[in-house]
Amino acid sequence: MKISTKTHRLFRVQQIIFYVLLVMAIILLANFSKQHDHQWDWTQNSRHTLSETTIEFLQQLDANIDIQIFVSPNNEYQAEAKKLITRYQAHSDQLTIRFINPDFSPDLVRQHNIQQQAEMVITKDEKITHIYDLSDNR
Amino acid sequence: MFTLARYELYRLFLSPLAWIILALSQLILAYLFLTHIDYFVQIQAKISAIPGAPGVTELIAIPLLSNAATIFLLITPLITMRLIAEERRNDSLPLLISAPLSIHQIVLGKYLATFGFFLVLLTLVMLMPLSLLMGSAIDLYQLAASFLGLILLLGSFTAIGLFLSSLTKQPAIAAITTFTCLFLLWIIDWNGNSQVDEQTSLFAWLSLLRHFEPMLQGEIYSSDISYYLIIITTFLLLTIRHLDSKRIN
Repeated sequence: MKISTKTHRLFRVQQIIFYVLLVMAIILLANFSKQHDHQWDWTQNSRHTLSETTIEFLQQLDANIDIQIFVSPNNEYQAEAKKLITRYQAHSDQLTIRFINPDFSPDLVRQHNIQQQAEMVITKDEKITHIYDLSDNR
Repeated sequence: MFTLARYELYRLFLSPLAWIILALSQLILAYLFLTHIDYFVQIQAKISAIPGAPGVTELIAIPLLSNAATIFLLITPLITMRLIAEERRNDSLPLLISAPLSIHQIVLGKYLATFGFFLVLLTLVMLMPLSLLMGSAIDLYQLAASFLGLILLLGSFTAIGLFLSSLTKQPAIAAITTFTCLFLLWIIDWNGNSQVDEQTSLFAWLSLLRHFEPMLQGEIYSSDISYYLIIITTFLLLTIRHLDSKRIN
């Protein structure tokens, strides 16, 4: 095959098309994998999975539950709380979750009388419960 | 393709480089292994009273494999730098290209050979946590998850190294660019660690480390696996593409 200026130019165009398609394919695949995420728990004691009873309880929730979590963005409990709550949220659509930075909303802190980091205020039909600790199992 | 892979692997083990890397990484990891065991023995009495306290797997095996990932990050450039750069410097690349092999066979052959070397290295590393079986029970499932994570991580390291090695004639430059690239992808999500909506950001998705950490903890997400597969395929495709355009021009 004789390689002329024209074939060179065609080749260039082909290169550009290839890279554009590649980037598009990556973005599509990444989004697809994010949307259809599936989790497996490979630990002996299923540390990262909620227990059967919890899942059943979450599925039979009928009224909306509002959870306010008072935690500073850099606090060590922030990631923990988020992980736990996301796990709950996967099984029920009745949970409304709000992370509140206590530094920016002192009036809310005063209103609920918040004592410590990662304290949660759970509201259901005017009933309010405080959870002080992530391992609190009331 | 497999002939080339076998030949490359054979050639790798002819040079002292491969043996020295195997030996020295074992030395460092063995020392770290001992440190973790030492630490565990120290705090064992304190934590034995707590129910659900972390055990041998979480305190020895997982930190060790996490350290191993960092060490692999440092040695990958040394192994991948010669792959194509040296062929180009010795002007033996035209010979390879004119052999009755397509470009993707050449690239895949070289990739498989290097990956095979890393599997040998990884098997040797895995023997350390497995040796704990003699003295205590360990969580084999979690160890398997970490093993899978390390395989995928090494696969991506090799693919990135192979691509950067095809870009230059100088193995040293290939090594430095590979190291920079890997390290950048390692730390890229350190910018906004504390943001609440970090999960969706581009940098968090790009980070090699962020997709690896859940696997160490025994959580396998299909999106993490597909991230590594995307990285591997992309860089292999880029390498094939680059060598192809070299041949035509």
